Amino acid sequence: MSIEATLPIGPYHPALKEPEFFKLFLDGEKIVDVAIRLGYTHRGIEYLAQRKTYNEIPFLVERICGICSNVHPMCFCQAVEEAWGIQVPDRARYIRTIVGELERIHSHLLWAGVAAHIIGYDTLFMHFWKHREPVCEIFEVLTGNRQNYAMNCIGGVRRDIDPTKHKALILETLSQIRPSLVRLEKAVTEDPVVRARIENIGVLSKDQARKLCVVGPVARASGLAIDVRKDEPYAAYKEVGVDVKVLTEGDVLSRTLVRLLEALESIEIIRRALDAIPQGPIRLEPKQIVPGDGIGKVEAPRGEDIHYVRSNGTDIPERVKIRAPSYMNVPSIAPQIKGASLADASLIIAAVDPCFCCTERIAIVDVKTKRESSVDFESLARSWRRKNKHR
Amino acid sequence: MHTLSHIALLVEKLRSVLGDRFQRYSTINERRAYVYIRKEGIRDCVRVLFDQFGARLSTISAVDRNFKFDVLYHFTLDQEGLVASVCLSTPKQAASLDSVTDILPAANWIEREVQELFGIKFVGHPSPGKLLTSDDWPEDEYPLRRIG
Repeated sequence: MSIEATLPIGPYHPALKEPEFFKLFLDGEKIVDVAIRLGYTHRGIEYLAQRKTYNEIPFLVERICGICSNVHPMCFCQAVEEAWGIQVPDRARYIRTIVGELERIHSHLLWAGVAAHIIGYDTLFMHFWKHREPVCEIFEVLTGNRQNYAMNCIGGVRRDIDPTKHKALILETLSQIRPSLVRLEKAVTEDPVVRARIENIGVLSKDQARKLCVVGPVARASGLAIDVRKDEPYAAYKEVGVDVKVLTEGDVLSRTLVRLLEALESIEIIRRALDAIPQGPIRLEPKQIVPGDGIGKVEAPRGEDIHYVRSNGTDIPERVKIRAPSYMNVPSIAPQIKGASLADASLIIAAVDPCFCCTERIAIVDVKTKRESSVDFESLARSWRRKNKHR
Repeated sequence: MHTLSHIALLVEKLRSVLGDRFQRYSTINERRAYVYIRKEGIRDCVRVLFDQFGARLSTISAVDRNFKFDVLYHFTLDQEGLVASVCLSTPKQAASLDSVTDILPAANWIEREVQELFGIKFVGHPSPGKLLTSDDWPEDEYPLRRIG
């Protein structure tokens, strides 16, 4: 095994939607190794969160991610509610479930569109995004925003779902997009060209998935039946129920199918939640800040999101620790990409649905340790700075 | 419904493996257990949790407590719906812990993050390079460490 060339992709590259840097080590067309450098969107959110009051932090953590922007505030609020011993009203739990599942549909369709674009099938890309659009429009009606909904607050949610007007809109939109999603799933599985492009590509074995502790659709496509909604039901998932989709092949096709099946399952969850949503208050005013530890866990579209909050009795938390799902999933690109063809690199990278904004509330470098001599990020960074000294 | 007995089972196993390195445990509810151990026991603790209980490392949280750091290893036992947080402390002066990356590869990035932000050295980490801060960031300054 020899390295003939190294190929830098990024940090700013037409194929990448967010800034990151992948250095591919190549032997001809074959990828021998990869070094990942992230750290271009670091914003110090944990530091900021430890200097803001509890009421301000949901708005801050909502800005961690532009795609799954409901997940982080929900997770933070759950952690605080656990630390303070607050029981959220039932109606608020159902509203959190509905918003979370709507977000999963739009996030999975967004990813499927990007993946279709990467394999060069732009018609499919436009179809996926066409059907994502009505979901964003639901959000606009429900919350006033297509993204960054600001629905969660400690003790419940900030806006109610109108039992007639909103419910009718959601149900009608879902019944419109459902047949299209089934059709698009067939377009992926039955089109021989698409299948040839994504089948047996970027395989992550169950053993590797367990060792790297990957989460979400990446884990479920590799045969690990883990889903926070099922394993540790939060919001109203205990009452509404979740059918966890698990496949065993661990390739890009499986990850695609898991996401598409999950989007269809989300439609059913929303329907059940809208049917069963109880009447009552949507938020509860916390009376007292109680010292203690709280852990919030939410199944984001990309997998388990976890927030740890330590309350010391003041109105500012002592510690807020945030771990987004992509943080666990991005390292799994390395075992997947080794031995793959160069043409598959961008697809494999995209297939873990990496959210670099989430991952990079802190910044990361992964340098393959066995070949340290051939990895020279520091000199690269130095030369970049030398060139840009005048700036 | 059997999570409480899962916690008891887990605690008993850890107590027997760790011996006097095991300190105490507490639970908030049936889904959260906090196990307090001496820092020398972390490698054996990870072996028990990862190899025998099939636990998954969710993350590591470090908390600056002025004279010491509290470090919490959050392990998720998916089948039981339980988060077992292994809590240990290290003095702030020459703060160091044993790395568990060779047992549990998923700890690689998380340990480096903690090392970079708090200045807790993870002894035996296979690639303890600079990670978060830029190359010209001072060696002895840590963004989330309190001064004094």
